[in-house]
Amino acid sequence: MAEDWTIRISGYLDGELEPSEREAFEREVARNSELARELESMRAMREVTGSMKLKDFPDRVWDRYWEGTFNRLERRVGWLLFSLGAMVLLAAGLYEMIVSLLDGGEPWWIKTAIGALCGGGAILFISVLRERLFMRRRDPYREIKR
Amino acid sequence: MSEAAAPATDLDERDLILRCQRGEREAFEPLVRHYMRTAAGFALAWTGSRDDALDLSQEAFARAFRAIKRFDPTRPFYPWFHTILRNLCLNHLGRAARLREVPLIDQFQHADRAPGPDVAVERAEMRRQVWEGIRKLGSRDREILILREFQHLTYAEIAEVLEIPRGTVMSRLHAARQRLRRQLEPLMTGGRCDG
Repeated sequence: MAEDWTIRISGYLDGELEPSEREAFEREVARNSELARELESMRAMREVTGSMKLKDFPDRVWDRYWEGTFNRLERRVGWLLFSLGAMVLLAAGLYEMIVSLLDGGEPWWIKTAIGALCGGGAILFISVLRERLFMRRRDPYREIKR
Repeated sequence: MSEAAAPATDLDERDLILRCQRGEREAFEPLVRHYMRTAAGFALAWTGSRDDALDLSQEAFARAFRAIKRFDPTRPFYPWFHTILRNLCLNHLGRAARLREVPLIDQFQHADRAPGPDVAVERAEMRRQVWEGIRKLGSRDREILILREFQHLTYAEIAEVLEIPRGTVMSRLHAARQRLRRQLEPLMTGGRCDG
């Protein structure tokens, strides 16, 4: 039963007990020397942590904080558009290059090398895409409550 | 209610969120300004790095804005936001593996000025030991201690943020303090805890 009282030590020190709970706790402390020792030990430690606070950031950090957050929002849209445009242009360029090389009567080993290059690129792309999709399924942010 | 996680009632948090959900980015600014200190403070206590704290807290706000259409505006913003921030902090530290790699340089200061150089040295050592003790704790203990000891959230607010009953806050906080006390045993028995 003493364990129940021990758990209330934090609530007592933090002023989070109801008045009736507080009175009952104080009565128990008065008659239970072990609980009283535990309370004092915890109070001493709380005084140590309570005398400290997290270091303040300089004011200039807060002046620029919103700007930094806003830039992140803006940059993401920029990156998405940039990536989409780059992918379309790259695919179109590769297609044109392959068609012109294959029509141009190049030796067989050049055609094989182009085939290997494109095949390897496709495998790498699919591999990265699969990895990203797999990671997305395990993304902790998908669990965020709405 | 503590100032740290109190809803931005004077700004009408719900109205701001509804405007954000309609895509008005400027409505997000008062929310960011209201919670930025709390968010950066939590990330600082978690990572031990000021640069990382700013980076992670700003990224959390950016992610919150992107996901805000899925947020229920009848609920308080900060607990929901805190989940995003906490997940980012955990990911940043590579879950449990890098938790103990938080820099050794403490990110604490004493609330009042030291009366002399001897006391200042003693206090610096005390802060180092407390920081060392906190960084040795598991993520659950560390989180609840940061929220209570350094962000001064009430039990009701912690319950809301961590989505646990108020009674569990009390017992979990007590267990975390007991484990911290074990870490700080040399400091406590050295008689320097009253300085």
